[in-house]
Amino acid sequence: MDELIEKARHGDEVAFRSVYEQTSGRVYALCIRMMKDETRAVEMMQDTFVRVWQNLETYRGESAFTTWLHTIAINACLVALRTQRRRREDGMENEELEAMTVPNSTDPVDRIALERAIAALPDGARTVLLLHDIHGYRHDEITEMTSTRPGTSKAHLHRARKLLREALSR
Amino acid sequence: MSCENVRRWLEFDDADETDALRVGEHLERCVDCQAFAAMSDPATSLPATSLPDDISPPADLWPQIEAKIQAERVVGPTFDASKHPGRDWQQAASILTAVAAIIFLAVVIRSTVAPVATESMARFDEPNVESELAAAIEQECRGVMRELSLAPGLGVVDPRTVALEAEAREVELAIADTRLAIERDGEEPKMMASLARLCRVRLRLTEHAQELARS
Repeated sequence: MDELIEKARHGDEVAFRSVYEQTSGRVYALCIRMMKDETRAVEMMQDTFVRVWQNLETYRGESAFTTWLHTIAINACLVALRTQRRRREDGMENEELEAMTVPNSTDPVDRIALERAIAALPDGARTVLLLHDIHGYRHDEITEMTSTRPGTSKAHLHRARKLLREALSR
Repeated sequence: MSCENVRRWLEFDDADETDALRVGEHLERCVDCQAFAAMSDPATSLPATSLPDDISPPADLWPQIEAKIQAERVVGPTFDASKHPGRDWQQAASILTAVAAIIFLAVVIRSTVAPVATESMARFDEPNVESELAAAIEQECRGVMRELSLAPGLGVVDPRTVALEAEAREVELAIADTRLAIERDGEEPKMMASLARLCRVRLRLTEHAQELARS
């Protein structure tokens, strides 16, 4: 992977495609759960990988490449969600988002219920839950990625888990 | 924030998410609330960790990304940051400061024209109150914002800058959309209020940019 990234840093598009193929699944899992909509998730994927390509030279290897990549993706999603919310508040977007469905899902009902419960969480709580419980990041990493404080990350996670438990017990 | 309010925030559905920062600050220093949070943490009963962290994206996504890269004439890396530590930050800081300075000047000038500062900020972008001077400042500001978004190597060192850059782009798009809607449908109060609100968001972004540049 390091070799591919180094080649991509020097403008090798074939290497960049390989980087995309190795990392896109985890980024897409993050984007689709954040955006709760396949079309929007695809937009975020495009935005993320184009930005990664544009800025590869600034990646210095101080953090894992996937952490750097996920940071760009999560911030793109958060900005898009804020814009979406603002537009909705301003009456420029009226449609309600449909409950998220993971494409090609053949999972049991409880997993679908869990995905829907996660989709219904507030943005901040959902972000921390996805990064911590699904993608395995620690609070100190989440703090770096989302520019929050450690206590805020822990508070969001606690609240997310509680809301999730309640939603699933209904 | 009191312990009672923090515990309420953690436990009840109707809590305001915007209080998360204050709750977090309290949790960092209050041992009792830390213990409360640990005791009531429902982590073990949740199956969230069993969900897949990898979902295959649509097969036609890569061609779309590739097309975007080529359409936008994205040039491969030309600057080796490791050989020039700090240079990209200096560049970012100087551009962000320039944006902040220009918008700050614009606000000061507009405040001089209209005595109520907050109202003048809100009205800064309304088409019917733009003077030639304001239009010129606006044009200059857009130029700098464009430079900000195109600057090579800008931002990714710090995710906050990435978010700022993306948000600036989103706000510019939203302002452009609103202007088009106003041109099309006339100056309806709701749309004018939206435009004013978006302009205030842009000002807040600029203040944030200024803070980042200082740090």
